Amino acid sequence: MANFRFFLKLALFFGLLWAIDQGFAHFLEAGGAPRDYRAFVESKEQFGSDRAVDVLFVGDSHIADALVPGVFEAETGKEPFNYGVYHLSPLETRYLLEDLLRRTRGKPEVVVLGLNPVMFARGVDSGVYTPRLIEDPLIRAKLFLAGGDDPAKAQQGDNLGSLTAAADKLHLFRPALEILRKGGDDRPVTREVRSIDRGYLENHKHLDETTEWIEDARLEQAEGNPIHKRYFEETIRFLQDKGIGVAFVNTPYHSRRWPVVAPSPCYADFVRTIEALAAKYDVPAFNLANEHGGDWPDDHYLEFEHLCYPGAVKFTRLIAAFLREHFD
Amino acid sequence: MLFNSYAFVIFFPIVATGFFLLPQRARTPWLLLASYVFYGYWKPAYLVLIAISTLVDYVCGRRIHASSDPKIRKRLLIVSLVVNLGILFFFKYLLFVATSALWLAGLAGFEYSGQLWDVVLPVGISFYTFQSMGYTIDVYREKIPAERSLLQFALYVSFFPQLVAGPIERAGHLLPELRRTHRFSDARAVEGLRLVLWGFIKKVVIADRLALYVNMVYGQPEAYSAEAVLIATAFFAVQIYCDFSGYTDIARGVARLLGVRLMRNFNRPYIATSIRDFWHRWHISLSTWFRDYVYIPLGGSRHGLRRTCYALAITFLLSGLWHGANWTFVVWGAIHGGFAVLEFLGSRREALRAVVARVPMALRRVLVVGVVCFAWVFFRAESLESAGAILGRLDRWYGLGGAVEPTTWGQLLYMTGLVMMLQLAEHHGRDRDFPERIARWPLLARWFFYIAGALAVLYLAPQQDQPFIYFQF
Repeated sequence: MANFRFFLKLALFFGLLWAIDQGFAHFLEAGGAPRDYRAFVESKEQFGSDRAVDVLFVGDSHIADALVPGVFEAETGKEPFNYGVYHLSPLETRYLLEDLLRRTRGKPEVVVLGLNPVMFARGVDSGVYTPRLIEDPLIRAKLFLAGGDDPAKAQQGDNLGSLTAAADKLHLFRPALEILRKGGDDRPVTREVRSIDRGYLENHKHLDETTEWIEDARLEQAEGNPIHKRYFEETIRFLQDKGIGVAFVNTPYHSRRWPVVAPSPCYADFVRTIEALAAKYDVPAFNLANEHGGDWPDDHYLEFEHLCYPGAVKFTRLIAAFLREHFD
Repeated sequence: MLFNSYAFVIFFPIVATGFFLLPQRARTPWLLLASYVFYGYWKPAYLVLIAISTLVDYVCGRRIHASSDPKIRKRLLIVSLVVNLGILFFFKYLLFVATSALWLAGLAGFEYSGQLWDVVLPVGISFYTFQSMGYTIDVYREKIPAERSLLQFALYVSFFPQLVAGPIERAGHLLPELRRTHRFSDARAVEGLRLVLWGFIKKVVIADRLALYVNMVYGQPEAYSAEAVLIATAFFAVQIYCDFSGYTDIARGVARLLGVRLMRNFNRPYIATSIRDFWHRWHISLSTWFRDYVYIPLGGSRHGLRRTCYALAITFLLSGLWHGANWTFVVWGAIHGGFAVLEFLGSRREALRAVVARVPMALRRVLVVGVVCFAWVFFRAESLESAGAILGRLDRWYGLGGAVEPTTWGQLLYMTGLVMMLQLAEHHGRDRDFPERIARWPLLARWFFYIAGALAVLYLAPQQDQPFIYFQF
């Protein structure tokens, strides 16, 4: 009887743990981290106080896949670092930059903020793959509190996801049970990483048949999330107060995605916002979203959104020339 | 196999279920098999070393027990010591001795440019060889009879919960524990699980978190301020305590689940009021081993002032070397030994004793922690140069901004909060284990601790896995 009681208690304990975790997991993005997440984390760990960075690229997966540090260095002679992070939101960018600038030796001459037309159309719980942030419960708590009194929060989603994002990374029940059930981790390999260089994962993979992501409900939003807009502006001020140059860059779009993006209310709001901020803070902006088609063949893309290596090399050369033009 | 691995999560329930379902006579072979799988999971070839230690000490123990000739008994003891220390020397100290000799030869003008053979250090070798040697010495001293069963003795040497990082158990305690008939007990299982949970909290939530700051500063001391170095050293003191005592708690908890009681290895070491007191509270199984098998045979405190100082110095130097084949550990041992000798000399002078008695207890504790932390600098540093570089930063004061440089204010406060939480828990536990105190809490409070503790371990672990520090010894 005593033994039975013990196992009952044990079952209750794990049941409670499972229920709480499921509650948290409910707020997480579906699908979990891709299997190349480890390589991604490794690439970001190359950033540190042992090397000075002249030009720091920060943004979401678009910039992460688009900037090849080796090519940039050969073109400009400057030391770059690509700190593009999958799903990084403007809100998180503010905290991430603060952390990165604290950890680097000296300060970069220029921080290039990578753009994406849907960057303001995300919920505030976006950005769950940011390695430094998900490690830090206090930053997650800050994210949770950020904009807590803002009515937009209710409309744009709950940032409890940011607070509990670690759940998906730390092998809690859901991924663990999946691995046990399937005898391995069969989450999709998004990128085939050939090498890692200063934050960049060299990926030559190109998917012909993928149709996902062409349709995007976020593109229908005529008004972006005010929390992200506020933090994006704050990021510009934060950098300029430190005497660091700022530039905006937007990566090119695939020929099949551009016709969906270009006429969307979300893109109009994005262009309006970026142009206003560029004018207000005198920030050079480079929008490649308009330059699609012939110069950007389909095999330059991983799928219909992110560049693969040949496209990234080309993009890097263009951005190097653009920065040479605007900065010494 | 690591306690904090998926492999162990699958391994242990199988072992525990099998253990309680099997008849008594099959339990020893079952646990022995499990222990060899546990160790062999890392590097099967090194099981041979455990087997050699086991066989040699089993045979020597039996023969010593059977013989009444002092010469033969002594010879057999020497055989046991030579084999165990020989294995330890070859795998742990040969390279160190060779490089040190070459360094000395280099000073004399001799240059050697060849390659030295760098062997992989078998995990836990210092622990199980000491445990095995302790048995032979105890049989020689007729403190215990020789174990008749080879399987039982092999299990004593390789019992998996404490095989790779202690506690270093005495045969007089562990052999009878392993021999007992174990029935599954609800209370014991809960007791064991509580210890395991508390061990994981200390290791994963506290030690691994503090390691992020410590590794940053100790990895590149020249980049950080005096404040950062001081905080990193204080954090390391807590990190190593939580790391090692956390492992011990998990080991004790796992053993408890199987019905075996292992010894307590720590007793709030940072409230010690002297270095001697510190060693009564820190890694108790090792310090008592050195006391019984090194310090007392060297003369202990019963053969005059000089002999005692000599015994203290040698014991602490050897204790330093036990931790690792590096001059940093020798210096670490020398610092503890030096202060232990000074304390001993001071205690012999009436006037000094009176002065010390007037020093407030809190101040004495701070002074002891200061000495211990100073010694930890050498323990943690990769080399003496690195330790010098760390201490050299102590003239670069930058204020609070310097302290926060390796991390963020939030993280620093969070880490400090963890340290304070640990202090509160230890204070609450007093001279018992904190998990024992939890047993007296009201039901709801207990369950809140269990759930919150488990979630903290799962959610708050840093991404980078940190191996247990004492695995390297």
